[in-house]
Amino acid sequence: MAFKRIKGSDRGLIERTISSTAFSVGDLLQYSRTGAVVETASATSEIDNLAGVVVKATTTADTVVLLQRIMPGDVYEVDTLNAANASHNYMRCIWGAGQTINNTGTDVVGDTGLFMQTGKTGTNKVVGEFVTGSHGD
Amino acid sequence: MTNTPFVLGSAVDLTNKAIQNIFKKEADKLDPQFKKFFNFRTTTDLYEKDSSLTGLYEAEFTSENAEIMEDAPVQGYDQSYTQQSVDIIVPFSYMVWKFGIKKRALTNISTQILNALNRKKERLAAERLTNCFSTSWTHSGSGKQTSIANVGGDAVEPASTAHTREDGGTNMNNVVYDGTTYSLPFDYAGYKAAIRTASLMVDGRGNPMPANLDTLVCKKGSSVAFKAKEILGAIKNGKIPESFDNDGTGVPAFKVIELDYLTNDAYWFMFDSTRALTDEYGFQHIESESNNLDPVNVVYKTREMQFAGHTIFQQGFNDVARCWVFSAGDSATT
Repeated sequence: MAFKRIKGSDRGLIERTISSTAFSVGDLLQYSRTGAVVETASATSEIDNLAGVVVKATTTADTVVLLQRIMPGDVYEVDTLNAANASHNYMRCIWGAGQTINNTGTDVVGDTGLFMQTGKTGTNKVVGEFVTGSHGD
Repeated sequence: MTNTPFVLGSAVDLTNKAIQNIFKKEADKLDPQFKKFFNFRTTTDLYEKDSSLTGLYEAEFTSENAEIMEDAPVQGYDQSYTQQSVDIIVPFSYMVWKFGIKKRALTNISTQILNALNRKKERLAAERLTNCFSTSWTHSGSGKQTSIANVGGDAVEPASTAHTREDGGTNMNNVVYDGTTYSLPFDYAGYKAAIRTASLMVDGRGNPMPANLDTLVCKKGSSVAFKAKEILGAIKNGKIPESFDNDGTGVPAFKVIELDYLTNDAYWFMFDSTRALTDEYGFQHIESESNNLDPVNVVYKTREMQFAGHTIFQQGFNDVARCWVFSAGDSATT
C-alpha cells in the first residue's frame, strides 16, 4: 500500500503539472526542478523536494495531478520494505521501492530520511509522519 | 485505495452516467451482541472503581458458656475503569458530496458512522474472550495498535487456574477441567467438565458458590456452534447426547450466543447469566456516552464536509472467577 493519510489538517489539495505519467492514489511524488513537473519519488528524494501524495489517479493523457500536501503532523499509514518493528519508532527512513518506506532499523540522519515511523500497525505496515522539521545536520 | 478526504477521483463510478445503480454495501448492522455477555451500565464519571467485601465463613459449635468463635469479612479486590473515547471522522470534498454521495442517494453517512462505532465495541468485547488466557493483547485498529490490559481485580487474566482467593485460601480455577484435562473441546464430555468446573466455584471465604451455567458463547458457524446445536437436540429431548442408548441427559439445556467477531473456531465459553450480567460479577461495559453523531463541519476554506461520531466507554472486569468458564478446546491450554 502506498501512502494513506489517516489524520490530517484541513489545508486542502493542490494541483501540479505532470508529463504523460500514470500515477496511482497514494503515490509519493517529488518536484523535478529541471523538468518543471512532478514525478515519482525515489530513494534519494529529500523532504524539501516532496510535492505530495496522489489523491486522484492519472493516466498518461492527464496534464495535472491532484495532490495532498505534505503537512507537519499529518499521519500516514504506509507499507514497509522490511518487516515492521515497533522498536524502530521515531527512526527516519528513506523512500523504498514499490511505494514503501525502507525501514532498515537504522535512523537516516540526512535529508533523505523523509518519513518518521511512529507506530507499527501490521507485519509490514507502519504509521508515521513526514519529517518536515529540521534534521539538525 | 482511497485517501482522505474522499474525492471524485476515488470513486469515478459515482459520476459515470452509464452506471444506473450504485449500491451501498457494508457489513450488516449488528444487534449489539456484546450486551448479551457483557453487563451494560452507564456512568457519569471519568473514573470508576469498585471493590467488594466477602461474607463470613460459617458458624461454629460452642461449648456451654464457652467463648463464641469470632469472624470478620475480608476486603475483596479493587478494579478501576477509566472511560475512553472512540471516534471516527469521514471527510468528503464538496464536489464528491454534491455530485456523488448526494446525487446517488448514498447520504446515509450517519448509519455508517454508527455501525463503525458499534463494531469497535463488538470487536473489543470479542477480543477480550479471544485473549482470555492472556493478561493483555494488542488491538489492531485502523492505523493504530493499542495494548489492552486483560486482568481482573486479582491481577489475573480471565481464564486461569490460579485466581487468587480474597481470604488467601486455595486458588480458584475457571478453565474447563474434568479433573484430568484442561480446556476440553466442546462436546458432551466438555459440557459436563464445564459444569464440574462451575460446581467447584467458591466465594471469597471458600464457601461453595457453584455457578449454574446457562449460556454458551462461541464463534458463529464454528465447530463448537454446530456441536452445541447438535447435542442440544438430544438434551432438550431428555436424551443423552452422542449416544444410541436409552440413558437420559445429565445436563440442562443452554442458550447459545454465536459471535461474529470471535476468531478461534475451537474456543468456547459458558457463563451463569444470573451472575455474569450483574454489576458485581462478569465482564462490564461501562458507558458514559452512547453512540453520538457530531454536527457536520464544513471547512470554510475548502468546503470540505466532515462527518463524525463518537462514543465514550470502557470495558473490563473485576471478577469472572465465579460465573464464567473458559476453554480453548485443545485439551491443553490453561
